[in-house]
Order: sequence, then C-alpha cells, then structure tokens
Amino acid sequence: MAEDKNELSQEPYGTFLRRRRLEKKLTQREFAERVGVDFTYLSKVENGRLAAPSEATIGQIAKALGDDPDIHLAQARKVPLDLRAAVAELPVEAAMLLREIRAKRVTGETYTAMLRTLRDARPNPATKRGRRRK
Amino acid sequence: MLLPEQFISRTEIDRRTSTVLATARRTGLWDGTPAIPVELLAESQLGLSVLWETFAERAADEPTLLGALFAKYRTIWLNESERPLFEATPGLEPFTIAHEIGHFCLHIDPAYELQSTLQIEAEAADVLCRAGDTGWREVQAEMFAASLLMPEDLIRRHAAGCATREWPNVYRLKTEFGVSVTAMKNRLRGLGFETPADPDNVIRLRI
Repeated sequence: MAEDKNELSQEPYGTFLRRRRLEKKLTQREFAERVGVDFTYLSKVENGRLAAPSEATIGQIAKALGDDPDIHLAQARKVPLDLRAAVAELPVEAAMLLREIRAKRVTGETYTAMLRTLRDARPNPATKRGRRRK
Repeated sequence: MLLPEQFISRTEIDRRTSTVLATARRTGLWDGTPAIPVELLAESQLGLSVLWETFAERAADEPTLLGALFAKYRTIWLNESERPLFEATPGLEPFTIAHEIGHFCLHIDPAYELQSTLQIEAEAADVLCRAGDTGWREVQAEMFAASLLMPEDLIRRHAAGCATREWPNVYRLKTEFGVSVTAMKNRLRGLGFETPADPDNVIRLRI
C-alpha cells in the first residue's frame, strides 16, 4: 500500500476507498460481499452520498483490502475508540504533547524518534492506570 | 457538453468499442474472454463512478428508468428502486452500465471539463437516461452496449459451428457473455446469424 501513515491524502474517504478497491480490481458487489455490507451502501459511501462507515465497518474494509485499519480511520478522519479511551485516561501533559505535535506538524522521523524514546522508557507504576493530575 | 445529435454508423460504433476493449486488454483489465468486465472498465479505465440510488418518483405512465449518466460528474446512476428487476433479469445490469458508457463515449464532448463533486439533486441538464426512449442517442447507446458486451469477433468465435436458431445454444451464449437472452438473440440476428423464430404476435423493431 502506497499510503504513508504520516501523509494522509486530501481526498474524501469515499474516493480513497474506491481507489483502493479498484487497485485490487474488485467490483462494488465483490468487495461489498467480502466486507459484509450491501453493495448499494458501498456505492453511496464511495460517491460521498453517505458519511464514512462506523469504526467497526472501516476495520472490516481495511481487512478485506489487506490494509492497516489505522490508515483507513485516519483517512476517514475518525479517532479509534481505544485511542479516545487512552487520551481520556492520560495526564494533562499528554494532551499538551498532542497539541504540540499538531502545532509543529512533526515529520515521520520525529515520530519514530519519539516512539523509540517511549519504548525505551520504563513504565511508571503510578501512572499505569492513567492518573490524571487535578 | 452534449455533442449535437448526429448519425453514427454501426461500423463507427464497433470501431469505438474495439478501441475501448483493446485498451482494456493492454492494461490487463480484461483477459480477452467473455464476459466483458464492464463495471471495472467503466470505473478503472474511463474514470466513471457507479452509484446506486433511488431516482425521483416518476408518473405511472412513464417508462421504467433503469439508469442515467450524469456526465458532468462522471457518474453512472443505477436506479435502486429497480433493484428487484435488475436482480430478476441477469444481464440487465451490465447492459445498462454499457449503455451509459455508450453515452459517455459517443455523446459527451471530450473537451468538456468534468467535475468530481457530486451534486446531482440540483442538476437536470446533460443527463442521459436509459428509460426506453427511442431517440437517436438512445438507439446509438443500445448499439454501443451490444457491441461492447458482445464483440463481433468473440461472438463469431463462440458461435462457430453451433446452431444459433436453437434456444439452448442462444442460452449458452448469453450465459457466457453475461447478457440477457433478448440481447444475445438481437446481437446474433444483427450479425447475420439465424435465430429462434419469434412468436407470430411479436412485431420486431430493427435498429
């Protein structure tokens, strides 16, 4: 798959989905059957006549295409439920960090470096369950 | 956007469909055997979208509307309210798509700048429909669809040596090509093959 996790295309989700389906040379009926949705519904999503599907359906779509679901969710401008829950549990510094990331428009290299730092860090038992600062 | 109505010969229509099919062969979209993957051809090769949605209600005395081409938005619109008819009539859906491709290839000015944002409700102009009309454009689109789905060289190869005046052979061919039995019979007749006799009470329209 060509999409970089850090570089979302500006196209609407339906256009992105149709492009990915056609790259697999699948008709709407064939693809809808694999996903478990009705082909008429798929056609409406692809043509922007309906909003992007639910997170669960997007997961099935990504699986049927052999894609990373995170890319599809990001393309649909949706935040996965587990991330939303995680953000809610994190201390305020985490929100500051996310805002800083957004403001700085960091590159993929920076993300990789931050991930490396986090993976090397020892877990703090006090924040294991997400202590929020009052 | 719409080209003026004009005569287009059967030879010219066959030439246009041959060009479309040759490109599909070259790009690997079609393997050269029936049935023609007309939906993928519309989408991948011609950049058309396929949308299933219910058309606005029509009066009871108006003909059934199967599909339309919203050329400005490169969209083939299939009438979702006719889904039972499409599903009960194998071959009707690909023929309708091929018909709309015919409009796109024959009747739309290729120089016109097409748009990608779909705002169909507000649009009424430059829409070509498959609704049993008999104007020149509709007849040409029907001929284009028959030529695209049942290319002459393929038909001659697959019908060679079989008695096309017998229904089982017509049914075998229509299944191979993914079209309706009526479409196959008309195509065979148009190419000069013998076909099963019509009942006495049928009046044929020759196009």
